[in-house]
Amino acid sequence: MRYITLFLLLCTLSAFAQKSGLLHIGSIPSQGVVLNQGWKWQLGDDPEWAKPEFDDRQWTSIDPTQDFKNIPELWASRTVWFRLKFTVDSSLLQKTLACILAQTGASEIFLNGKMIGRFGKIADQNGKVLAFTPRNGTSLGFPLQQSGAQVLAVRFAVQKNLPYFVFADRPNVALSLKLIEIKDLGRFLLNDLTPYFEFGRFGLYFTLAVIHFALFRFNKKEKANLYFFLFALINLFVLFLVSIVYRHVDLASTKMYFLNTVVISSGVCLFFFLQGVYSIFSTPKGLIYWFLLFYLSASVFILYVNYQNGYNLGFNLASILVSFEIGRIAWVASRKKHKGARIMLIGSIGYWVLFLSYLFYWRYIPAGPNLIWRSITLNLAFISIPVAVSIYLALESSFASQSLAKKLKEVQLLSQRTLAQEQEKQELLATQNETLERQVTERTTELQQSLETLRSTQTQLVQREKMASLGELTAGIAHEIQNPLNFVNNFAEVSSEMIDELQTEINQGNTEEVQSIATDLKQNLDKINHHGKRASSIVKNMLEHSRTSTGHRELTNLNTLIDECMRLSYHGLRAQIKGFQADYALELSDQLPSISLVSQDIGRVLLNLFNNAFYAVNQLHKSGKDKTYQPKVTASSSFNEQGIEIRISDNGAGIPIALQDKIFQPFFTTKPSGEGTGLGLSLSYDIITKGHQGNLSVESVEGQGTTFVIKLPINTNPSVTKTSLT
Amino acid sequence: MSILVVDDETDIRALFEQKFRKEIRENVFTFEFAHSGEAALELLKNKDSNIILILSDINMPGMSGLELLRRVRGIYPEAPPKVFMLTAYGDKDNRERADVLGADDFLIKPIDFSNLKEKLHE
Repeated sequence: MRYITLFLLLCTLSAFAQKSGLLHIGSIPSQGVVLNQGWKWQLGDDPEWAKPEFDDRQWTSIDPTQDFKNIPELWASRTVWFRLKFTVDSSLLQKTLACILAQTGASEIFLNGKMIGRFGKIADQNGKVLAFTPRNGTSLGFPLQQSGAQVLAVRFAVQKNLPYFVFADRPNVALSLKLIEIKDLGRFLLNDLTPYFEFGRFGLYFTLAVIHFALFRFNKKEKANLYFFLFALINLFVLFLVSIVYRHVDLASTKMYFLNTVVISSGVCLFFFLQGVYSIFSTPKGLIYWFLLFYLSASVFILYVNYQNGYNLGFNLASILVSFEIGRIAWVASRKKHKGARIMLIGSIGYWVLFLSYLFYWRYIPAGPNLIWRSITLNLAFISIPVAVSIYLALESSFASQSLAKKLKEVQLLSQRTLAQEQEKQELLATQNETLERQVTERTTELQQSLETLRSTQTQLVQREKMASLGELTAGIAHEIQNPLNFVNNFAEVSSEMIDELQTEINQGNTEEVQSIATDLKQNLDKINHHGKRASSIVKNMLEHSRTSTGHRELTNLNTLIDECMRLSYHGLRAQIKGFQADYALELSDQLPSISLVSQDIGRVLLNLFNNAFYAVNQLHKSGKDKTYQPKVTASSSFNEQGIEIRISDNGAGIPIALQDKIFQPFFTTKPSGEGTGLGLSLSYDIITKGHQGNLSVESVEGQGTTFVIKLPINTNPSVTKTSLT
Repeated sequence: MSILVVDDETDIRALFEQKFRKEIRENVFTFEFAHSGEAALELLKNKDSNIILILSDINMPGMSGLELLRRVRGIYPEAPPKVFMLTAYGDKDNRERADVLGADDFLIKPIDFSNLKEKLHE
């Protein structure tokens, strides 16, 4: 609007011709003639001043087309009158003229004493002025009188209580009347290109708003889209208000309030734009940001402080600073190789190029056809950055979708691979399962076989232990048998000799001698009998020992068993171990009752304990540490109500405390490897505790000796019980 | 001339008395009997006996025949008495030890009495 006014101003200069203080209008160009010369004015109010014949020569000259703030008197007086006397070329008298009105205030317009228009109210019912700012193109008929000078009188008042300011270089003209031929009125209105640009911008911002809203709707994380959506939306609102203000608003108050809203909204709009750009590049908010924010807020106040340049100094400067900042951010971002930041930079540069060309046109090129270029450059400048931003965001989302597509492909590939691997794994698992099952079956079979082997081995071990203890005794047993057999042989031999002697004595009739020999013979036969029995008893014992236990309990005299075993053991070891030397003693209770037990088993226990005892004392003796040492093994038996107690003691080295707990464990032995099975005591323990409900314990003091104590309950009831061991 | 027979088998006495009944009757030999090494040593200590020969078993409970031999040789470094070892275990080791300890002879059970008689007569 501003440039249109300027343009018209320049155009009309040529149309005026001042003749003897009276304005003469020779012709009216198609653009019309602004009546800005020859005006006189007077403060106050008088209906007479409307009359053409009134002499206003004393009145002051004025140009009412200037900004009403430039006429301070306007504000001092309630009403003023403007008068213009002018003549027109006779050629104009034939034409139908109109007058395009611009004003900021209330007016009553008289032509040649006759009111031709009233705009606003100079005094309403409350006595207040209601200013009227006619919309663009508001015109009124201008009927000239056919002869003499034409007198234009305008009664005028301003409405003082409104927040006026100069918006976008459009001055608040006090009063502007532009003469124009009716036929040119339409063309004049058509010449205004502003609506097209406005419409273009409207469309653009609407599109931007929709796009950014859609982008934000689909990607809420990208806050920049929200900011640009709000920017475009508020811009739409601003454009809307601006076009309303100049096309449809006549009331000054409405116009000013709308324009105020426009400025504040533009500030908010700029804020969102700045915010959006910061968000795009994740720029840290520094001093510049806060300064711009402050300046944007302050621009509203600047508007009221400085009527003339408040808008330029406030909002316009803020928007220039913001565009600088955007340019700077884009520059920094493109330096950092931020993808697409160049678009923003190009947008900023474009803005500056276009804005500078606009300023160039505005400043140096006269209005005319260049008006279009001015509009184009300014409008393009306005949209260059937002468009760049939109392109940038579109690019970004395209990049994002490209990378998403790429990632999708990768994911698909990966999932295919994973699927294949999974399948492979499953197959592998199945195979492994099969293998495992087969292995388990195999192992189970193996284990079963092992178990069976173990069982048979256990049986063999028990047997071997039995045979081992027997083996140890073999030599002793041989000796034991040898001794009685020697006696049998010797006594038989000597008896045979004595029979010869006996015959000789009988022949000689030596009765006394015969009788003595006969007695001896009888004695010898007894001896032979005795030793024969002794030998057979030993054999029997041996057989009994080696035989698998019948588990048959029988009433047994333990003393006899102890004696036999002691002797067996003693002689056995004596025969087996070189240099074996030991004494033994039996301290057996005479009244010991016979009890029911499995004699083979108990015999094995006793043999085992005697063997151990003799072995122990012999070991100590063999070591030769003590020259006076007398190896000795003692067996004793006693009884009370609780049962029978058998103690087998040796004066050997004793068993260390640490080993006392272990000696009853299977396979525990202190003998050199190969000499002991380690099962003797373990089996003995089981025979006594499990087989006979007795107790086997050890008392040992290191350096003094060891005593094994067997406790057996007195059970005289012979019954068949199968022991678990044999 | 007295001979000491040491053996844990008590019946050795009856056997010797019958085998040597002629010698005993004719007082060629007299026999003393001990059933352990310890008893033999007692006999040797108490009697100013004219024991000229000890016939000792080796394997006896308590003091063994070899130990007895060692002790006897401790008391009588030189003969008399002579000591004949008498054992069922004619193994090399026992024989060697008996030699070392100063045994005069080594006889194996069962006793070959005709052989023993010859040796005694010598």
